[in-house]
Amino acid sequence: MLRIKMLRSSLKSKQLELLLMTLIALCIAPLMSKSTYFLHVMIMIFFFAFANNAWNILSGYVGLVSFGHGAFLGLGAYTSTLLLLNFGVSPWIGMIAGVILTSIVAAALFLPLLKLSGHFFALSTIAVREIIRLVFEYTPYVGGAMGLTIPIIASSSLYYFQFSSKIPYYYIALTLLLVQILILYKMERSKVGYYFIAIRENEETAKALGVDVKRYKIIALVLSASFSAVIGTFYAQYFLYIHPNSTMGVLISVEMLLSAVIGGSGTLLGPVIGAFVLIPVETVCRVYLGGMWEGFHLVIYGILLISVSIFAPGGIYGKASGLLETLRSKWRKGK
Amino acid sequence: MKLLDVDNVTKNFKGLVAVKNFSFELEKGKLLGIIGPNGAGKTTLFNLITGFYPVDSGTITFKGEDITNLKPHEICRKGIARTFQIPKPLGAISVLDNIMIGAFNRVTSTSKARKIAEESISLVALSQYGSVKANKLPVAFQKTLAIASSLATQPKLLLLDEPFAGLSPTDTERTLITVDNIRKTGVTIILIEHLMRIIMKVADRIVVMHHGEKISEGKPEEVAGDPKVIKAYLGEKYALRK
Amino acid sequence: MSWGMLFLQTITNGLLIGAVYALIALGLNVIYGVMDFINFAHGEFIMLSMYATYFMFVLLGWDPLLSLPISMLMLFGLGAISEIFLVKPILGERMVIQVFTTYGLLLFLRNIATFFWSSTWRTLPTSYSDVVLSLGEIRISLGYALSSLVALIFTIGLYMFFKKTDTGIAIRATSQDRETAKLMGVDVNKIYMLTFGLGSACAGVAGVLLTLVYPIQPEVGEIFCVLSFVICVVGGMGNFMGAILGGFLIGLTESLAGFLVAPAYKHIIVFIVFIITLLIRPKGLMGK
Repeated sequence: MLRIKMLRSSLKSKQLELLLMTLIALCIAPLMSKSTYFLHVMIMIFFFAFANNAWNILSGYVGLVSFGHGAFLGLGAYTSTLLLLNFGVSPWIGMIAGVILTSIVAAALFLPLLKLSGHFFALSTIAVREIIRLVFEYTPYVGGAMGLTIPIIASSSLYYFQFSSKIPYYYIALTLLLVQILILYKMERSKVGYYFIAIRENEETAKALGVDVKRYKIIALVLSASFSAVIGTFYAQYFLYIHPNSTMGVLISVEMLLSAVIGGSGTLLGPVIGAFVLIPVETVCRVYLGGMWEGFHLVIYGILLISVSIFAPGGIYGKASGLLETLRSKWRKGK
Repeated sequence: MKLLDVDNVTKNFKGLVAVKNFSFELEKGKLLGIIGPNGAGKTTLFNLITGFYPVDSGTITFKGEDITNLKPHEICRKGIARTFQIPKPLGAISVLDNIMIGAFNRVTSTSKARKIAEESISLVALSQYGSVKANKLPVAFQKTLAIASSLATQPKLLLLDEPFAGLSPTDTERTLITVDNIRKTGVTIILIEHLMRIIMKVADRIVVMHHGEKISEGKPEEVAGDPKVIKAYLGEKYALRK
Repeated sequence: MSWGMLFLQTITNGLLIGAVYALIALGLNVIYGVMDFINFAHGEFIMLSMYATYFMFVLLGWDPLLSLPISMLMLFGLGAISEIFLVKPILGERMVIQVFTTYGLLLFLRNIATFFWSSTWRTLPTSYSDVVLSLGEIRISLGYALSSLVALIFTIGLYMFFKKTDTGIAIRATSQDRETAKLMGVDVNKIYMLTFGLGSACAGVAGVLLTLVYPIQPEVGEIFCVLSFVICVVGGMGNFMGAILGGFLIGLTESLAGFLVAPAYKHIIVFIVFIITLLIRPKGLMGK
């Protein structure tokens, strides 16, 4: 018994050690490699990990599958960009404004849909996202289908969230991701997190146990939309160019869920693991297959998605932790 | 002291009367049994009390407070918990986590919720399964889990919907002990049951339901001797046996 | 042309495309009705059928309406195979998993099509696609007329199949009560495979007909898939007549919105109609 306990605590400290080492590696990585391409790939990993974490709150924990998260990301991107272009407002303030605006729009448009279950919610999110996207496409004031370009205001300015080097973006993205993971870690272990999962597992039971299902769905929706808006501002400032298709379209909405589903939806680390797997796959496809094979990574994503659904419904994280558990119990029996 | 007062409650489903002018009272600390043939409206009555269905007319009073047509979670907060006839556990999470969801009804802190859950789980003697995933439990234990979860909401009144249905003799015995332990903590219980034999053992009073109406009420031995009950309920059983 | 005539013209156009929409939605709805399953790759099946028709026309010179049986059978096969290998293993799994299995298929098919056939728009110029019929002042392009006529014939054929044939009756029985159907000796596995095949065949036929009026592109499935969901929800999920009613209704909405507001806004309005329906009549017009 004691031995098992010691084993367990040593395993725990091993995990902690691993975590710390990963963190340190991530922090010093930009100092080791001068390749901007490497930095770009890392930034994209952080970006998609963050975006998929955002999706994961509503769809992974609460179980309301959304194909419409691009709308939230886009709203965040557009809010900060329009404030910057028209009033010279710092994108950091724009980010907060984006969170507020996106929360309001999400509540107004998605709230009525929350009572729908299963497939119907998923389908209606496609429609709502498309309505928002089309409105932006046909409104000249926000740039229409051509979108908005953010001019270079300063070569490197924290206030204007613009840098000529990729290194500041790297650290900003990493910080955003770490803060988000910390918040989600707290959430997962709090009443809110427990209630989210209860709603996903069985709404009737949740209600009977005192869960105000509607209220917690709204909380999840607003949290999920807010995080999406935050990363939307990052998107705008990193690429300095946004248009309705790239920020609100099908592709971005799907990319906001692929890492989570393949990594393991409804878990803290699933989306992060997913992003660390998928983004390099995409990169390899782009580098080695070239322009002619544009979009080929999506073919692989499709195959991965099918395989995960059929063979590892818990995603990579679920499969890995399951395997680890059996190994551990086998080893314990062996002792 | 009167804990629950159901007064003249009626519920229709598309013209079909499920519960009709139904009234009963419940004293604190008692165990009330509700029996009746299939489709008598027993589960519907539970759904009305716990706010899962709105009532068409009538009032439900709990601790002197009108709770008619409140939302299920509001009623749970007031102190009425329930189980379902077919257990619907939160399958992907552990048994203890299931019970913690109930415990969060009263507390916000996770450690306090875990403490309450641990008390509930030991009260129903399920501690050894605490870390098992709920959907891996056998159905008999899922029923026990449902009782533990609703108990963790710290109710004054507990509504158990056929906790003994489909159980083996061993599990029935185990559940009887559980129900008895819960009573000892001072929780008032309403229990729907199909089998006369069990309800006679545990109930202080019995209400007999038939076609949505109350046809008899009283102490177990009084009800058992009521010719109306024998005709409506036992009569059917005897007829089936022949 | 007077406003009244333009209005009539708009209604006619809406009804013509509505017939094709109805057939697309029917495919999705039959599968949902029987298996309680939604095929997110339905639009991609349509896209594949469009390409099959296109290549048979360009490479072999076969007219779309002549090659229709081939496309239909191909899609039936594709549907049946997908059912066996992708759908069967995950039926009864959580909804999320069901969604992402066919969504994976969608991603795969759409992007493999882009890879092989590039994302350029292609059109299929048949000898009759430019012919315009005149009914008084109302003009109907022969392509539209033919596609809507054939769609109607297929819809009626499918209806007769469900009403009159033993297999059709077995499928309906399964959709009403799976367990009882099983007890009555229906091979539910076979029924599922057939249903998925039939639903996909509808997409196949619709794909062929769409080549007469719509350009071909790997991403063309997106809008048809979303539209057919909308139609099913508006008409009634799992309901045969619902899909037909919804098809015409959405065809009309689209066309009227284009006429009364602006063509660019037609899909916004269709989606708004969809959301309103979901909110006030979540089971659809014909839903029980």
